[in-house]
Amino acid sequence: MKTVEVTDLRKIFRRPLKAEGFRGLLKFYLNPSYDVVEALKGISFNAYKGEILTILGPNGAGKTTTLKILTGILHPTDGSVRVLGYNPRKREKDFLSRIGFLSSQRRFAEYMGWDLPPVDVFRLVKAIYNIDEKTYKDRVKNFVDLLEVEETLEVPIRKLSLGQRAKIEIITAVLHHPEVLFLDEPTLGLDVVAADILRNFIVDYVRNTGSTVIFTSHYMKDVESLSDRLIIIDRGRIVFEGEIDEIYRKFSKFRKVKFIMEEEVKNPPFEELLEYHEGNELSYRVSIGKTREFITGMISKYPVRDVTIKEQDLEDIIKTVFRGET
Amino acid sequence: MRKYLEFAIFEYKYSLRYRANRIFSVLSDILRFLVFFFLWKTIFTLRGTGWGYTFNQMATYYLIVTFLQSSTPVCWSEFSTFIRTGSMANFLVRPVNIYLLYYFRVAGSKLAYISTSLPVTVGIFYFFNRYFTHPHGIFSIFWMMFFWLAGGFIYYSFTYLVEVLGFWFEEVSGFSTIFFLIQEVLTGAIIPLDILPGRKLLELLPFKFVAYLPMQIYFGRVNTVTILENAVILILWLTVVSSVSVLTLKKGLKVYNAPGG
Repeated sequence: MKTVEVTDLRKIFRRPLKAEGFRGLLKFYLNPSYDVVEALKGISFNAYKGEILTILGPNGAGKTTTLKILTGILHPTDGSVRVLGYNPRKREKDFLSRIGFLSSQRRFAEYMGWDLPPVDVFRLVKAIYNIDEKTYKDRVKNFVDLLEVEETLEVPIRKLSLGQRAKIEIITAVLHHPEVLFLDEPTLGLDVVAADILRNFIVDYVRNTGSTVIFTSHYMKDVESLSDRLIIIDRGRIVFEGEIDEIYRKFSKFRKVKFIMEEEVKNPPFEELLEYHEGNELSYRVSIGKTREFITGMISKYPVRDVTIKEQDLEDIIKTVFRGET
Repeated sequence: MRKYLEFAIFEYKYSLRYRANRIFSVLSDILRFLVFFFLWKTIFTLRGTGWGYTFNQMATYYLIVTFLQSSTPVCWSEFSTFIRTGSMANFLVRPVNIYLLYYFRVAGSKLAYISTSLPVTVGIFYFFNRYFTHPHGIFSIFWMMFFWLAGGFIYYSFTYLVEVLGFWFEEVSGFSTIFFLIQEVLTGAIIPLDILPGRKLLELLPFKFVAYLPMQIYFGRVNTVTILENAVILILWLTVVSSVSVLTLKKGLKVYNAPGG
């Protein structure tokens, strides 16, 4: 079942241009100038119930703009958007009760209760969505256990670490069990452990509620461990839409082959393919289709103790294929 | 409405954190009252009369008006920052009316202020009783509170409208400064409006509801017919100002670019 439908979505911004220094400031005062940025150039996509969809792209690609339009924060310049059958720009009460949004900065709990503990902020969320006491308590307990934040509940938010705050913020975004949850870079700035807990929480949430999650990210780890489907946006256009496997199938050109040799290697063979060399470790970038032949060649000629084969990094593929970087 | 009350309670608790700040706010109000008290004492000594007011009425006027003025909800200047920095997005995605939500937040923080300043004001009135005038009657207190509360909502709406300009202007503190300078005169907080020139015009404006009119009712200087007339005028202002406020937010959201992530 489709929960989100986006057709030919466009967004144009006008930005003030201020030149450097006092002269630039004076010039802006007397004759302000602006430029026009086309943040989204007619993108179309759908999302489905129970799906985790990632919007991936570099800074300024249009990811956050897309989320802000889908949540009704921004009005599109052109195109059509439907979320759970609603037009987000109308900000109908019923629509807002059924979605959740976590922005990447200046979030709800931090804004509301910097000096107060998370439990006070949760109470506000309970009141906003009119959640009954029992459901509220059950959900808080469940989320707090899953995110491992029990000891933070009565500590002022300003005293919490970035990771703890991120976990509290996600609770404020899902306490009302939204049917569509929008997350803007949910793991931004988190350490490996906190990011992992947050990812598991999102997967668990979708599994238990059947909600749709649309999230933006820079991190491949997020994409690899969460996404059912992926949209890559670059300069306001969708450059790829599909499953991650499809990216590997279509665009992966290399595999990473790592050898641990029996002894230290001074002059590694196949230098043209070599990516990394230290002591008895050698790492090569080998074209798909030639991997077997390459490994066999290595094993037959040199004293190999161990071999590991890895797919090309998703980040690498995206950089090379979609941005022309090497 | 319950959700908005929850926000008011939240802000009430939040405002109670800064004890020193609350004490100094009340002290600054006492200081303000004392300035007016001694100023008018000098005027009465030199001039003998006070434009239809007795000295005790004038002292009462400034004691209560200072309290009412400081307790009237004012949309925080952070509201325009809230627009400019994109923090507003956190509320736009939730089923809340931002105009009402902010009113209740401000009202909650004002309630925290009142919980400190009311006992002080009552204490001053009680211990220095000989300088002050008692209310005209129990009904005058009721009408006084009615006008102050409803007028306070109008007043909040005006300050909200100044802050909502943040959708179109990057910085609105200039507008805000002008508004607060003008409102000091228009509410009657500096001088009772009936002493000022252009009184008829000033009385048409809604600012009198938060200070000047409640005090006229307190002194029993307004008859029932005038009170009812003013109640009608107040309802008209309330309708106009709240409609304009809601409409302005809608217009603002159309041009909003929700900066930041």
